[in-house]
Amino acid sequence: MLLQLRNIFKWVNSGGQRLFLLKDINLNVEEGEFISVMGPSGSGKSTLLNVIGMLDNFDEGEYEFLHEPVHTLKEKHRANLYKEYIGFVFQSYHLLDELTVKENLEMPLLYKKFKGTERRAMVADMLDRFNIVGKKDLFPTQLSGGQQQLVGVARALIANPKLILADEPTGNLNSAQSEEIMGLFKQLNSEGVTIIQVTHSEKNAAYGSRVINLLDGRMIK
Amino acid sequence: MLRNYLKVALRNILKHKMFSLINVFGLSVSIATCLLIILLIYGQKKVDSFHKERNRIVRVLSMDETRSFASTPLPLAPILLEEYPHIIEDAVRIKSSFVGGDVVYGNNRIPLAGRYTDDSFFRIFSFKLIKGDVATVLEAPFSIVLTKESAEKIFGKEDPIGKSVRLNDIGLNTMDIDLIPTENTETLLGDFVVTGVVDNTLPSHIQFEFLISMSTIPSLVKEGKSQATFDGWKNYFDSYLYVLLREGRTDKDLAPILANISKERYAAMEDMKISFGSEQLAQITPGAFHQNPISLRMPIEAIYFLSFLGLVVLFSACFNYVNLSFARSLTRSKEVGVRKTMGAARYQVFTQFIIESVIIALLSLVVAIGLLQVLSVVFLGLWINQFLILDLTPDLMLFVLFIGFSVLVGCLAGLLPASFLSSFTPIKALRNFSGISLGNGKRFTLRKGLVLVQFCASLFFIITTLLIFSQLNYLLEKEYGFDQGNMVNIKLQGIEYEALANELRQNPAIQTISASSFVPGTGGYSGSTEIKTLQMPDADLTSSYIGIDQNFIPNLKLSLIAGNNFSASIPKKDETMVVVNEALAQLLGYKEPKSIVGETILMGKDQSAVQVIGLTGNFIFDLLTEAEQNEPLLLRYLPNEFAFMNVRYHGTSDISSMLTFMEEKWKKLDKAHSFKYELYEDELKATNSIFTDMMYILGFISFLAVTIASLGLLGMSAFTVESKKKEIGIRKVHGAGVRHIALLLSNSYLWLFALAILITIPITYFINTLWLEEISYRVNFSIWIIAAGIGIMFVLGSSSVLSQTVKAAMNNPIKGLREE
Ligand SMILES: Nc1ncnc2c1ncn2[C@@H]1O[C@H](COP(=O)(O)OP(=O)(O)O)[C@@H](O)[C@H]1O
Ligand SMILES: [Mg+2]
Repeated sequence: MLLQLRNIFKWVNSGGQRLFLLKDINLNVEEGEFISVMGPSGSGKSTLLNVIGMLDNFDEGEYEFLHEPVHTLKEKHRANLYKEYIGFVFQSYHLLDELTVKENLEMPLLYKKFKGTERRAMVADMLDRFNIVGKKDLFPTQLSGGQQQLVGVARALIANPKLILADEPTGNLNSAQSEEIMGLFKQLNSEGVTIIQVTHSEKNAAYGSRVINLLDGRMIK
Repeated sequence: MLRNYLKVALRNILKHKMFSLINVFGLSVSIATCLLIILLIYGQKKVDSFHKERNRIVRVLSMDETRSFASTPLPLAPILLEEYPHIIEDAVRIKSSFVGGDVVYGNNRIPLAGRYTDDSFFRIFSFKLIKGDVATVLEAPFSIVLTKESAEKIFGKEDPIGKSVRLNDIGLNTMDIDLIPTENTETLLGDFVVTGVVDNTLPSHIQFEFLISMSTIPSLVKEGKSQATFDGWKNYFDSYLYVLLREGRTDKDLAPILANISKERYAAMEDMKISFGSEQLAQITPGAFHQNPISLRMPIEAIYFLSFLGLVVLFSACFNYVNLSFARSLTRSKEVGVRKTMGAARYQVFTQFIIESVIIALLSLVVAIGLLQVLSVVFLGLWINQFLILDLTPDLMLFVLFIGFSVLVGCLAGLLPASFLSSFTPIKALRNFSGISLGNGKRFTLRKGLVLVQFCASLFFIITTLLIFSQLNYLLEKEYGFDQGNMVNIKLQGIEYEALANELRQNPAIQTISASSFVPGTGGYSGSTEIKTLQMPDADLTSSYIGIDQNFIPNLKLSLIAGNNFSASIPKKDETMVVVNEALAQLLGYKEPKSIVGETILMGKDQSAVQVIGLTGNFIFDLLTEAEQNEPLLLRYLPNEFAFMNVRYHGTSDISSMLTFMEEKWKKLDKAHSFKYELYEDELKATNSIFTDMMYILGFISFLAVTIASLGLLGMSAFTVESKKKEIGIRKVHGAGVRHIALLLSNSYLWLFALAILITIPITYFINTLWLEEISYRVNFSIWIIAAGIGIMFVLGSSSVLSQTVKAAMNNPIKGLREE
């Protein structure tokens, strides 16, 4: 078991009322799964992903990640956990404009205390694997959306995470680019990486092994 | 990691050009200003740092009820040495009265100035004795130690040791200032044997061109050539005392001793309330000002004042950095969010932003060092600095200091923005990126506060500068009550007055010549004396006096209201007649000043009776900046006190050829002294130089303060406009006009400006009134000066803001909406 959510509730107080963002979420994720989260806009998909990624807190319930009770962990410990095991992919790529492709890939490694030689090897390996060696010295703005997301995925992957969280990774891409990214996910999944993606498209969801539907913060069967 | 930070920082600096330029400009000019001050302080700190025993050397001070004096009575030293040997290891006196004059060797007559000092001089101070024996150089009477420079002037390449020079004292001033008139008399002190040569090139507050053994003085006294007394306690102006404390003793051990001595010596004297204090050698430069200084140095107050000004502009520039960083935090929040999701800890993000501000500061340092070259030249050109011994040559240690200072400035500027930006949680930062605005609430108030402070400082400096400017103009245009045009004043320096006058009269360009003991209005020393009338024998009145000849009153075109001038046949001795001014007549109780003419008044300590023969109008004879309105003055015929010759020339004559003529005649009569003269009009103007200096300094600071604040406004409004593009677009689509939108965007600054006026005007008024009221001849602090200051600030500030807001308001609204 990679992670387990039990009776997760998350709410915000608005005008004296509790506004539920997540309601009674129960979810088991095994290693090697490829899950698609679907639902209308505002249904809580991103919130769920952020909770799983430990970027956001929840108000009630229990969350175990690799048998560590996340809900009881201190901030710093939690940060270490996601630093080590989780990679993030964003809809709008979120590459740093001031950094080249190579430097963007290297950035997460800097915060994970890899040595210089190690970092160079890992970056070279990624560039190779994603076929973007020729673009390593370009800045993100010089790339197409698809290429940028490719770098985004490579960056998420570079420190060998167990889990990739992708929030609408193809939301800004055309269909050919989308297919490339999805193909890549499929391949990564087959190599053992667990993936949870948010998507609006049935076609993309079909790449995964399981679909979770959200409506108003609640999982529906 | 560091390399990565540096790379990102540099790219960000290049990418956000406006942000970087505004900050580098502000920081570089303010850092340059601070570097100059650091240079100044560093140079001052170096003074006297070469003495090996510097930590044990203490100078003793005399204090009356209100003032402190650098000098002490001569007998203090032997008492300390004899009665307190367990605390005082050694002591040296340096006699303050000047031994200045011609050092004669063969046909060489060199005017030099030196001092009498005890033989312990070289034991206590570490001046390097190149030749001679430290233990004995100043022991025997009539020993002289020359500086290397003096020795070369007198002896050239010859070895001076053992040679004999003749000293002719004409009271040359050791401080190299001519405010105090040199005495008119010449005393041949005798023949002195050169016992040593000293290298005094290392900076010290003790300045001399030669030293003479203190043991010479008793012989001089015997010969009637000196009035020094070694057992008198009333004279505390005559000598400086430095003591060497025993190892482990401090000035705390010295204090009770000094208190005892002063109690013992002065308790019985009714009119003397003197006590003694002390200060460490290191405290002397830079240090507090004492009366009767041994040399002129920059007072520590001036350093505080300059540092304050430097810090004001520095903080203003830092405020810009803080404000602009907050304003653009929106554009950096995405980066923070991404870095944190990728595993960055807060301290890492914090470090990154601090490094960025430090790099901006270091970049500014490079520019600042360039600016410093210009700035220090301009600064050294200030009038006041010709009197100060300033050493502004940088060394390696200084550069380390400079870099350290800039890093500190970078940290200071970056502290708030870095801690703010690094506090974003990843999820908030990334969500903010897509809409919710940052920098509201507390931070918004902070930013407004910083802008407010900038406004206040700018306003204060502009108004103060304008005030000083108008005061300076007032002083420059003030009528003294005499005619200073077409006049040259020549320093007599002991020359035979009549002889020179006769020579000069040969030149047709020269109209009239007179003589005086000092030159009115130039800050020269005017004597003062007691005066009384027969009717009021108990009155305790004093008046200044000036010694003049028969030609002085017509020559300066003073108005003679009643009576007569001194006649040509007036006897040179036995003063029986005097001319007075109106203020003096009024002081003596003559309601109708004219009626004093013909009366007899009593003058001086011995109350000699003199007849008032003439009455002049009041004229300003003190320094304009120090003069009181209507000061009483006696114009006395005192040929023995003539120190200046006043020469009036025809307005049409060629001044430079006339001066050449004068110099030739001078050289004919006096081979030793150089011809010293001043054009009266220029000399009077120069007496206001302290105001000119202040105006330059404060003008420069105001310029920086205003420019930095305006640039800050420019940057801030650019960011505001940028972040409100959409709002502006929507408003315009719905029909808002350019004026409406520009006003909407500038509104908050307008309120801040109004608030700044409310805060600053009373403070500015109060502070400036403090110094202005010290001056008798002063301008009104008028509402117009304040209004002009506000006007300048308003124009500059609003043009900065409007340049951005109007541009945005005039843009095509669709552009603003489309780019969203
Ligand atoms: N911190 C928050 N405060 C208030 N409302 C929030 C907060 N976070 C999310 N929401 C709201 O919760 C709902 C779910 O948001 P989100 O998870 O982003 O939906 P999705 O990704 O499915 O479109 C939205 O209506 C959003 O506005
Ligand atoms: Mg979403």
